[in-house]
Amino acid sequence: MAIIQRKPSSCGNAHCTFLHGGRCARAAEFADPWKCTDLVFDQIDEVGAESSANAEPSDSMVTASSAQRIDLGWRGRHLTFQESDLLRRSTPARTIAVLGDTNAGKSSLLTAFFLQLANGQRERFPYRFASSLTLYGWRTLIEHAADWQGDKKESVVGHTPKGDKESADTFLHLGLSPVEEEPCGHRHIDVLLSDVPGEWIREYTERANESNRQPLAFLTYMQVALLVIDADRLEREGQIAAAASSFILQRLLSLYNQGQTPQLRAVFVVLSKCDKLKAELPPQAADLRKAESWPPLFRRILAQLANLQKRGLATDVFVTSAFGQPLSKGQPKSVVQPFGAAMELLDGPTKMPLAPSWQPQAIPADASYFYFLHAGDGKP
Amino acid sequence: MSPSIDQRTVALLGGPDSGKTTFLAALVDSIQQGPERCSLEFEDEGEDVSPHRKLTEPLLLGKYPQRTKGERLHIDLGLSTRLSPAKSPSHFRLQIGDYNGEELERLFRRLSVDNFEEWEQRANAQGLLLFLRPDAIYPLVAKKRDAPAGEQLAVPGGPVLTPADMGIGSVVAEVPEARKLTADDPVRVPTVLALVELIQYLRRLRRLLPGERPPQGSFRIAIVLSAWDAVPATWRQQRPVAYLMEHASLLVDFLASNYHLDDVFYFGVSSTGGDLGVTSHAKRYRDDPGGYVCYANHAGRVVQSSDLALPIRFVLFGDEAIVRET
Ligand SMILES: Nc1nc2c(ncn2[C@@H]2O[C@H](COP(=O)(O)OP(=O)(O)OP(=O)(O)O)[C@@H](O)[C@H]2O)c(=O)[nH]1
Ligand SMILES: Nc1nc2c(ncn2[C@@H]2O[C@H](COP(=O)(O)OP(=O)(O)OP(=O)(O)O)[C@@H](O)[C@H]2O)c(=O)[nH]1
Ligand SMILES: [Mg+2]
Ligand SMILES: [Mg+2]
Repeated sequence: MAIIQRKPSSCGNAHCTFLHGGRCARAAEFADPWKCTDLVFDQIDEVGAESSANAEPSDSMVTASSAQRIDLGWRGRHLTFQESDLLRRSTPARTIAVLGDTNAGKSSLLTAFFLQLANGQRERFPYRFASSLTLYGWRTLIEHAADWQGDKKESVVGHTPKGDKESADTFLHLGLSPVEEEPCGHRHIDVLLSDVPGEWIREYTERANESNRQPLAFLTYMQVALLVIDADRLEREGQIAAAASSFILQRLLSLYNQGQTPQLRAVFVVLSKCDKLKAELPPQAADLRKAESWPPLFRRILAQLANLQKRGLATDVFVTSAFGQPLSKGQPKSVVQPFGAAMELLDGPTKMPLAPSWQPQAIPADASYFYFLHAGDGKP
Repeated sequence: MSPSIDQRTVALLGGPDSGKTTFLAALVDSIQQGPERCSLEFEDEGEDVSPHRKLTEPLLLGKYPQRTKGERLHIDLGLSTRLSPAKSPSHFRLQIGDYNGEELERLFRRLSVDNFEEWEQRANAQGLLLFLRPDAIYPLVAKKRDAPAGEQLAVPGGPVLTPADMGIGSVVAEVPEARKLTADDPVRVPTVLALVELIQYLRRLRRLLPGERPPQGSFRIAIVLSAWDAVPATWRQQRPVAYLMEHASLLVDFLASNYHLDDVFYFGVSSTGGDLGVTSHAKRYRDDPGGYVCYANHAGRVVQSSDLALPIRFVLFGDEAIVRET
């Protein structure tokens, strides 16, 4: 039977994004990425059946022959912008942009949130974990956090690497299913959570030019922005640090005013590392929304929030502590709340339709949720 | 035996050292011991019995099998079983292949599989036996070598918990909620991410979208908490799902969001009825080999049975095939 070799269905190299519009991980070795030996070609015979994979491979054969490897269909690592873009064609994914300067505690917040969800500690977050395309990414963060024994000089999750701007890892992914709709509920809600290096946010806040915009292109479709502010640093550095955070809020406001973030519904400030904070914060949750009840250090930030609110965006402030102590010594504080508030806006009873109402885009007949990882080729 | 006899395939998966081979061996042995011991009755042993012999040999000597490497044994048996004493027996051929738990981490890390056909078979099986061994749930698969011996046993911390503390009501037909932790409780590191990834992969091969429940009864999952005899007695008195809710609620949540409630069942299984590493038990076992299965009946009460075939019966026939034992 004639063997027709089709285009590669996948790549055995976990770091490769070439087939998803990115870079070949071994570009240095293969000038022509199509010749890279990590690519996996499915052989299809004339009747279209997959040619059988010879005899059952023994354990030793298994590691040797990467050519027989079949990808699961997703990389398990953070989704690149391109991947998330394709995912959004088949599902109206909710996008929560987690912003803030480097070291603000963005990745820590995400990690602690995932841990709470994984351990069923989801107060006022009426969703169960249902799926994830980035489980390996989550585990890498968790492994880091689990290793941390409380040494203040060591980082908890590690600085988020600055990848190549065009195809950098951008999102963690979660699929959620609403608890109250059980047992017959079938809804599955995709949520994209950005986990990007703070430098990008700082650079873009500084200068909103094309090159700085590129890695943050997802801002155009974010629905909720969580601005993470290191409360400890704020206290140590004072107004200058408060001003830096206010600039980010100002940048969000200009983007919104220019119509560049048409789906944005809410901007939340998350004060992180509050286990270290010495200042007295408003005791009542309700007071958090009143600028008068805050120490002067926070006024600038709250003023910018008020500005955003005037334009019709929902705003709120959350006081959190993700890793005030090692995992073995106690629970994080309030890390689920900001995500709960975001989901309430995006999926709760008062939800507004997702701005420019989402329409599935035309995708091939054998379209699947996983379309985005093997474009045009519905085969696993 | 009629050639048109039903072929039933059950997939068997789990991490390294999770008790898969031991269970498979103990099952074959209990079928051989006859209907007193096992509700699956032997009808046709098939052409090649050497896998069955190889599987059961170590147990009959009072030892645990070697870690599965290279050769993975496969059982293929003609069997019959009665769903209730009044019903006539169903006849079928049961196929179950062993799995090397080391592959799990590899699959998780590389996100690719080498033997696609096997995976397709698993995905198209009637159901899945998924193994977790509570006394060897390591903090993280990748780090398990570093785990100090004392940390491996997952004993409930603090006061002894009752099912009510666990937020588990008496009604079985609802998904349990995890216990609300206090500020000083440690944060548990989820150990089941690789298992979840593996089920995600099986689902994808079946072309199920995330969150899409397959038609009821088309694919059942039996969660087998193995070496149940090694779990502290306070946990053994509770429903097996309570243990999982405390130690791996992510998996329970994942299953609840992706399968019908009736298609997932939690078992505590002691394939060897105790630890064969303990000389006195090994001796007892050599004289009278057997194990037991614990599960919660319709009333939420924990029931113990010496029928090791119950997880298989559930996967093939649903919970009507097990709760008869109340
Ligand atoms: N005390 C305390 N320290 C924290 C907390 N969360 C994070 N940190 C510290 O802040 C450091 C930086 O946190 P990350 O989460 O990596 O910060 P990030 O915003 O993701 O930083 P980039 O990836 O560089 O943009 C951690 O390594 C911890 O040392 C917290 O809740 N309490
Ligand atoms: N106490 C007790 N220990 C058990 C039981 N079943 C299994 N074990 C223990 O678990 C170990 C691993 O069991 P195996 O059946 O080899 O595990 P496996 O899942 O086949 O492991 P791999 O072959 O590495 O994938 C055994 O060596 C025993 O120490 C049981 O019923 N009771
Ligand atoms: Mg980071
Ligand atoms: Mg084995």
